[in-house]
Amino acid sequence: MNKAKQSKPLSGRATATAFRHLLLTPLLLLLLSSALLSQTRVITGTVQSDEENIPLVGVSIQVKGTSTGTITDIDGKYQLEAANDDVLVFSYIGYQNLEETVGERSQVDVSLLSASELLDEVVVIGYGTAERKEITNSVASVDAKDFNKGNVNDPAQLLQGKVAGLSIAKPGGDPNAGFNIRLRGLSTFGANSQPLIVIDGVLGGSLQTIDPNDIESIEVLKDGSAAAIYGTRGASGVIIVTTKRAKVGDGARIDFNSYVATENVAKFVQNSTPQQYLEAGGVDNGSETNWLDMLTRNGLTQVYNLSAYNSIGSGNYRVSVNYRDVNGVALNSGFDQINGRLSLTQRAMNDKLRLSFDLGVTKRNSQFTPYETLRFAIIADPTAPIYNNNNPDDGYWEPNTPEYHNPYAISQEVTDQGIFKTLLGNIRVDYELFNGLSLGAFYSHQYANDLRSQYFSSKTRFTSASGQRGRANKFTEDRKNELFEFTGTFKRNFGKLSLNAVAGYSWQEFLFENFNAFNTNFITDDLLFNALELGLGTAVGSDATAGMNSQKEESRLISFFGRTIFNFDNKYFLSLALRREGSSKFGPNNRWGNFYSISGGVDLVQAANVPMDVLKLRVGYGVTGNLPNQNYEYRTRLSRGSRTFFNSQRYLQGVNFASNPNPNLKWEQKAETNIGLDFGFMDNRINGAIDYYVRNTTDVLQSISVPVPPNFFPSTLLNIGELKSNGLEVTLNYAAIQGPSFSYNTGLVFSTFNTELVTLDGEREQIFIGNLGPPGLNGINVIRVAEGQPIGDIMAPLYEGLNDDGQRIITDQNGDGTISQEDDAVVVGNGLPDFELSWNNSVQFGNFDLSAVIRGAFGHSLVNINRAYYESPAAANNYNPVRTKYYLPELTESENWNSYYVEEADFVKLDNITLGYNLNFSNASVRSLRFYASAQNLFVITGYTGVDPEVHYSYGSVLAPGVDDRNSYFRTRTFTFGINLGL
Amino acid sequence: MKHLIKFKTGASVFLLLSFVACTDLDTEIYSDLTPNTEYTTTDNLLAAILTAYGPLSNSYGNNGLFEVQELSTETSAAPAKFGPWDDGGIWARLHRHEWENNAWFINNTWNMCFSGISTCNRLIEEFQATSGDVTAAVNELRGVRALYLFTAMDLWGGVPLVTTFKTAEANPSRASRTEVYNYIESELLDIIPSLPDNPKGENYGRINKWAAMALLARMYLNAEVYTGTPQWQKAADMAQMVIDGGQFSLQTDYLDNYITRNESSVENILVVSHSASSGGAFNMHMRTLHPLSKETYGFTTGPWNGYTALEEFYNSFEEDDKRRDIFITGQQYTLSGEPIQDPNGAIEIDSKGNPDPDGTPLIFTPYINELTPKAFSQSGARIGKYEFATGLDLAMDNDFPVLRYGEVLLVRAEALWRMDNGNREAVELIRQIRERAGLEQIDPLTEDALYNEIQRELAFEAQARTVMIRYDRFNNTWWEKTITDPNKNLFPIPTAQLNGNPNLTQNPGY
Repeated sequence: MNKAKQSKPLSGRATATAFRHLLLTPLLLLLLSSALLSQTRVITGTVQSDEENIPLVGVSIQVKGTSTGTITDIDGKYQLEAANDDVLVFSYIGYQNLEETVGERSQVDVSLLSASELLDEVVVIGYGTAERKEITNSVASVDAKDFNKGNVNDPAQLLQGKVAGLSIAKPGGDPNAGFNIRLRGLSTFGANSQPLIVIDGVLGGSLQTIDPNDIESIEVLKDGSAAAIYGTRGASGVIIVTTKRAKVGDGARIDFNSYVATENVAKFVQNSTPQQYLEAGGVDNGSETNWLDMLTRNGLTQVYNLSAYNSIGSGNYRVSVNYRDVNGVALNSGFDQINGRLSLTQRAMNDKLRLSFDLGVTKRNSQFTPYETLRFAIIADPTAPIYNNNNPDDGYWEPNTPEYHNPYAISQEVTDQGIFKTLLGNIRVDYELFNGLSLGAFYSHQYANDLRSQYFSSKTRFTSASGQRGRANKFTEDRKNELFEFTGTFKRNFGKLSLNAVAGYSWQEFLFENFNAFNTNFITDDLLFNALELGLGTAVGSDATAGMNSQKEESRLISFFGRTIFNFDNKYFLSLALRREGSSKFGPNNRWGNFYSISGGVDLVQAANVPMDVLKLRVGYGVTGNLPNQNYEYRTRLSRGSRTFFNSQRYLQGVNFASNPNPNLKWEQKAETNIGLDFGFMDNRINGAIDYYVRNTTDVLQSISVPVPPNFFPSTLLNIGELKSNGLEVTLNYAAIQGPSFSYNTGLVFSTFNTELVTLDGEREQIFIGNLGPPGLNGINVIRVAEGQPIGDIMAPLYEGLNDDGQRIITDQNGDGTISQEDDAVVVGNGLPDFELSWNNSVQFGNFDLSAVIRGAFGHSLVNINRAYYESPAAANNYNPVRTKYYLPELTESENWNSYYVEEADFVKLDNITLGYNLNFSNASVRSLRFYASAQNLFVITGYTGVDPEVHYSYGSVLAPGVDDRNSYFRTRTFTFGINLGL
Repeated sequence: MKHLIKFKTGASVFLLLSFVACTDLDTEIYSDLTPNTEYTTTDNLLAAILTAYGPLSNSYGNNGLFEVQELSTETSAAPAKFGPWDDGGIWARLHRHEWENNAWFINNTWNMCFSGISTCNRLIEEFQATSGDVTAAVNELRGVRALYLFTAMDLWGGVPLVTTFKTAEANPSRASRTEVYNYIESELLDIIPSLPDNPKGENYGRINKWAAMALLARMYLNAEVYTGTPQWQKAADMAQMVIDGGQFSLQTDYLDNYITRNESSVENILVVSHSASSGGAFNMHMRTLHPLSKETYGFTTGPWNGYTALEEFYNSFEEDDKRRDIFITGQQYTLSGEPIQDPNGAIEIDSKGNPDPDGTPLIFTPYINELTPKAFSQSGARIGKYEFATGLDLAMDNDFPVLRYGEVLLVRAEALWRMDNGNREAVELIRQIRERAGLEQIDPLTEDALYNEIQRELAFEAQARTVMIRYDRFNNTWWEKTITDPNKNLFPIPTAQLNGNPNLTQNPGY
């Protein structure tokens, strides 16, 4: 249970070189002091459970900092040798660790607390830990045992449906696509809308450095008072990931986990059969081709995870290796990944000094397929052959219209590979100066490299490669995230008042550097992108046939921070936090900002004797920030302009302004108030929390049109705009049945979202964005962004029905005789849900365990673009018409934008259902063995006719949610069979 | 005591570290240029001057000036073809004079003018701050600025008259159209004597003496529209100065002015240089041709089937007019000479229930059945004035003529005719133009004859709207265009500009 990292003291200085010396300083100092030795003697005792006073068998007892240890016998009794100063560490699965100093005693009897005791849980809150009872803001914790199961290849997936207010969505089943993570709805539209990730103390750590198998727990800092300690990066919330480590008292263990999963398409966009296509008026090309079948497959996934860990004397380690081979349902999509992770902890100097190291390395080879293959497979002529004359020697069949290409040709003739390498290493040293005060120093380095290689063969008509006799592209980027931190922590009781304080200094630098080159007109397709020099595109000297570019940028953040938690008599709690932070991205007039929070809580059970197990009221207020995405926006910069072949003699390179400098550029600021109530009754069998928040984001970053002249550039990045939101979150858990051979736990997670635009830019009251795009619906913007209105309103002229000639009747709102999006559109839906709900269930019966997660989002609509473009018999002129239940055979008009193509997209999904069986072993050589089977997306209940009713958070802009892009990956269903072996 | 010592040691380390704590937030710029960048070549002066021409190439290439000047007139339109080119009706509204204030081609054109003006202002100030002799460079930039200002004044009337950079107002308000007119006139008159004589070589594609004169002549010809006071004599005189300069003559073959390598034209006075190899923007082939025209020209990509000439405009060309070759009509063939078949020709039924008149053979008919939403994919004569090189990718190399000797002759002819409808020189000048086109002279000249000759000669050179307004025909009705609102002679100030600058006022009627 002791997942808390002891954050310890120091403060500091900041450059890399300085740090290397400094790291040694406390070490040398500490090595000067010596450990005291003392005599050992035999200690005996009994271990029992706190709740039921029954003896516990097999409890591990370790003398802290040594290799001496034993376990309790059948009566809960134990015996070992220890000295007066020794600390005994008791650990047992399902119970909290307990440490007892031996002292003068020869018999040490202890009672262990159940791990499920909510209020005694230790919560990671950033720069330290606190006990759950002391938490006065909104923080959710999810442990490994509660993570989502099944085919999980992305850490974000572990949390889906587990935390109120945390939306995690990925429309479609592309194994290479990331999840969209959003906490408490939208808090910005000009900066980062995804939460800050902190991995073992590394701010801005990449989830890609971590295999889901290596995660011990995840905490979510939801409100501003919890996130204020993270300053300019706290506004979109914070997700703190703690990886697994060996614990004091763990013996030597080996775990092996593996599964095989098979994935298939759960939902296509419905299109017409060849017969229906011909009936709609399509031209018969004489064949029958099921393009969707051609381009999809059953995707097979294999995952292996091997880890070993041990606690030896004053040190412990954990090492794990993960291998994943994931194949998506679209041809040529997937990845294989190898990941290694090492964690070491070493104590010295009577446990006063603690050193810990973490190192994670990941290498992933990805294969990508352009989403257009799937999009074109929907609309490709179903009577067309794959090859001209059905003969591969005659080349691929290609349609007459330039709007799509033979999708099979794209899948075969486009090779798109990525190699992603990342390393995340950190080292932490903590020294306990005296009881209660510790100093700590932390250094981390995250390095990532992407290498993307693409080859479009001479046979493809796709994209700009068309007609170029092969086009090869290579892109590589290095990214660095380097962090130094020095902290001091102080924990001390003063009578009834206990204090938990931390202060520190942080220096962080980010740098990226990339290079891109492409060439065309290759003498062979065989070498793909592996011999760029074989293309003649460079000889032409045209920007269209060959080129290169490179870029390098850096940014830096420096901060001073502190936080104190006051606990008065376990009844009243107060927490104060402050971070003063500067960023190199801010203009000289606004370099440094202050972010702070205050929150308080009262335990009504303790303070007012309320007859419940838990009843705690929490109120918090916090101010957090959000950084501009751009690194140098406050400075005057120029970039490449047009190039002229002057007088047919020599090239001249022009330069243009790249932006307007804004010396006042600063952070976005979000102020948030959170009121929460934790409760538990019926012996805490029913427990949960209710939170209500109100948030106001000001100084929202936006690129605003400005007059030229006098400006250099037609837009400037300004802090302008305001957003407000509120929401209610309810978490409810019920331990319905708790028998020795049968138990049933169930829980609900409910969240509402209301986000309203207060001010856009002071000039415009509303704008329309979300262009449907060419051909035919170009320039039609379907999402309204209006002051005083919710984010995500979908606007469309109202469809009333068809007239006798098969023409659409559209409401002419302004009565001018013509229909246009500007004049006649009304709000017909909203792209963001009103609320989300998930229902978690777990059942244990005998050796079986069963868990199921049902998740839904309600109240959102989606623009079904595929229907707007292609669901008309007239579309058979150029395409295979889309044919959902809304298909109108008598419609005589072609594509159009109106309310008929906006659909309610409420859904309920069985995200995951898993059945496991645990084998019992009397033989101690096998600790545990479990087999399980799991299904994901077994059913989806929705009225939406598109591929995935999941919330679509962004269509070019986060202000344009609710648009289901034509380029999207199909929804999938997965079955998984796995084994967990513990030795 | 031991604790205390440790504490002191720890505390002093802590304090020391705090004291030297780095708070340096100045980062380095690695891959952008800054005002402090040192250049390796003196070509940068020249390169800087050429940046001032940059905005022209975009706007004369696509989604800008061509669209607002041509598709809004009786020469051409972008009919919606069963979906493609519907785009929410924006093209139909442009043709019907129902354009929105935020239409992208209007805003693009505004941005062309004003980013050009801003660049000129900035460079002029930067050059003037250096020690060398920058007179020639500054004069040229004043000429470029006058061209942008002229375009803006023609499209929007009175626009902000911003001629400085560092000291420019944050939110400039509009000057009157006459003020802008007077400014352009004084600027051009001031620089003409010192601009270079030679329009070729290093000066190709740049403001030269003759370009400044021809621009001024065009402005004088339209002076009545711009200021209320006609300037026929000034127009005639200015055109005569270009003629007297003797640098230009009519190109024997009219179409040679528009070929891929039209640098050799003896007639083009000022062109916008387009170069496919440096990311060119001129893509008329993509905009006007049919997807299957790819087979005719060996293009890498199927064109988008957009802009077509109107039938009446096509018919206004006499049978023997050599200039009729600017249209592409009739059966289309592959590179190897096979007639192209378009299966859609067999299945398209328009809004009135009529099928495509000639079925699957890909035949461009001058007849266009409707503007929207179901113009037959094969309908409309295509704009073939700018030669389509075989094997084109997405951009063309043809330089776009902004000012041309043929136009100068027309300016003088019209100006003389306006002052005296029986002027013999006017008849003679028109005869020269018609003779090259293989046509007989017209005598006496009528307004209709003059108007039609100008529209035919300058067809698709982004001038049709200006000519129609001068002849008071822009508010007529034609084909599917029924609106007769004279407010449409000026475009609306784009919404984005009004939002960005609170001191801008909107034109009447918008």
